[in-house]
Amino acid sequence: MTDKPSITDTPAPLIHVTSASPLHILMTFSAPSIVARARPGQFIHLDVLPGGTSPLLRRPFSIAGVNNAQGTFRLLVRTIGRGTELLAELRPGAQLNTLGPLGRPFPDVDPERPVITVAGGVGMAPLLYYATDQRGGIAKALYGAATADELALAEEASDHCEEFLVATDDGSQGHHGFVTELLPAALRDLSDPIVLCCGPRAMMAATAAICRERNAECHVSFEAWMGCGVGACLGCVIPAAGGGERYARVCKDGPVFNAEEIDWDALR
Amino acid sequence: MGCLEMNEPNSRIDTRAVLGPLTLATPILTASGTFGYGEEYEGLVDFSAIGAAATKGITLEPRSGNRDPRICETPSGMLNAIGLENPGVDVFIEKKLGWLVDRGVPVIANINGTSPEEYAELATRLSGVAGIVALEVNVSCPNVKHGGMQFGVVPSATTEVVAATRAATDVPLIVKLSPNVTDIVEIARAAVAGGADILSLINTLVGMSIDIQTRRPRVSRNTAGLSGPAVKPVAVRMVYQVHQAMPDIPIIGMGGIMTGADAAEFMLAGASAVAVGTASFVSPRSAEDVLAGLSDYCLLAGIERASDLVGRVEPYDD
Repeated sequence: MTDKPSITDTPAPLIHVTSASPLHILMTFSAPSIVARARPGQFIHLDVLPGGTSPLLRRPFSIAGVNNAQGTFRLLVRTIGRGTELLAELRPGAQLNTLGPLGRPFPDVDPERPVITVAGGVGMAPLLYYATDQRGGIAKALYGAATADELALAEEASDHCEEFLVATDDGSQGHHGFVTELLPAALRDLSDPIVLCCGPRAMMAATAAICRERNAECHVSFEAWMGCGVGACLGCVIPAAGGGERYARVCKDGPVFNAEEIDWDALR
Repeated sequence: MGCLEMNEPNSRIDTRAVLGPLTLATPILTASGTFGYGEEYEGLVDFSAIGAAATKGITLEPRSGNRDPRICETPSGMLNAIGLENPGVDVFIEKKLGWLVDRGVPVIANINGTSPEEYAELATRLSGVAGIVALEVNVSCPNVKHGGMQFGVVPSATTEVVAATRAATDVPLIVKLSPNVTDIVEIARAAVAGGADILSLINTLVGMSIDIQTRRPRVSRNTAGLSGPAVKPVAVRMVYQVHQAMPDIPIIGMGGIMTGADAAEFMLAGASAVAVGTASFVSPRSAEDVLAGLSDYCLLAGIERASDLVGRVEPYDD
């Protein structure tokens, strides 16, 4: 370990913004101190309205990729509320306070071991970072969304995996149905695969159940409303496995969990 | 907020805060439940700005806290119903307390019980523990089924809990008051009658928020505690009322403090010290920024000692 702080809170200039789908934007920020420490699966706690009180709290976003040479990270943002709408209005040159990199990243995987990613909607963000990271490498990438328009960064993601399969709820692209319906066959084709998943909770629960039935190792990346982002306020918890009433902090114990660490039956 | 250049507290301003038996280097505290045990903010905060840190509420036995979801955002504020998740007093003393103590931050241990006897037992266990400069008797947690606010909204129960705690320890006692009462002064008097040295106010206001799509409350306990700038005028009013009624009782004011100007407002209302809470979630450096802003205000106002602000509001005559 160096003596550099593992987490920094730093003003980060917005370098550029591009459209990633009709519903998503991709924002690139400059923050070398954060990028130097970031790992796939970690997140940034972003102050979307510096000095303002509504919205008040920061918003957590998975890192969707970094450029180490330039010291930049990018975030995939779907506009769903006032906080993300304010983000969508920002133009290059704007500066936001960024706290990160935060949380537990995806595990290190033996390069020989096949990786399957299962992404739902904006959940593609951390998995794309994993895929583009030099430590990573994807055998099969499964990507689901409600409709084809919501498949952000699909083309880029497909460049970083050996096999790329899409599912849409309305059948507008790829498999007509849930992305998890593609998982059993993907698991069958590979020897001792590890599954990395990020998406809506119901999708992650289905993924975890399929993996458990087949004794496949599965890691899921959670999203939650957060207060502090650093483990102090205990606001972002989910029920933990292991008997008794126990909770795990999404911000600090996660956001990536081994699926066996979650009490899926108690999850809301 | 959002001011990210180095804000060195102005050295010409005397920021010491004297609260009865307790003297602190700065009048800026971190509020219980908003700053963990300090260790979570390692590398992010200049701890020398913090006059004292009130640690997350502790109980005799470990508690797992409430079901999720525990928080949601509301206009200029947030609701929380954590439910006093904590590892219990023994683990607190053995494993959690040391981090702040090692960094020279005075610790205020926030204690919670379901009976006067439990408060007294906690006070006994925590008496004489190095680094603890005061106990904060929390009779105002709105998010637990038993204890907490049940005591803090009934004057006789408040007196009983405080008196039992007082009898168990010589450590300075802070009593944290609930704003969920008709008359804050009556409760404040009850706490002082029980032996409180210092009063801290306000804890959170009970509120509720409903997701109109799912028709579910947005926090699992249905009701939860409101904090942040939304509650600040209520908190300033209560600090003012208590200070007017009992000018000799030191007050730690809190409720939505985000800036040095907010801190000055609380001090003018009668607070000898203030605590930042929700602000730390928005910016971990809030305590430093508030101290720097308060010092700047004092400098501009020609005030040498921050304590000269206390209670110096100039109210209108009726």
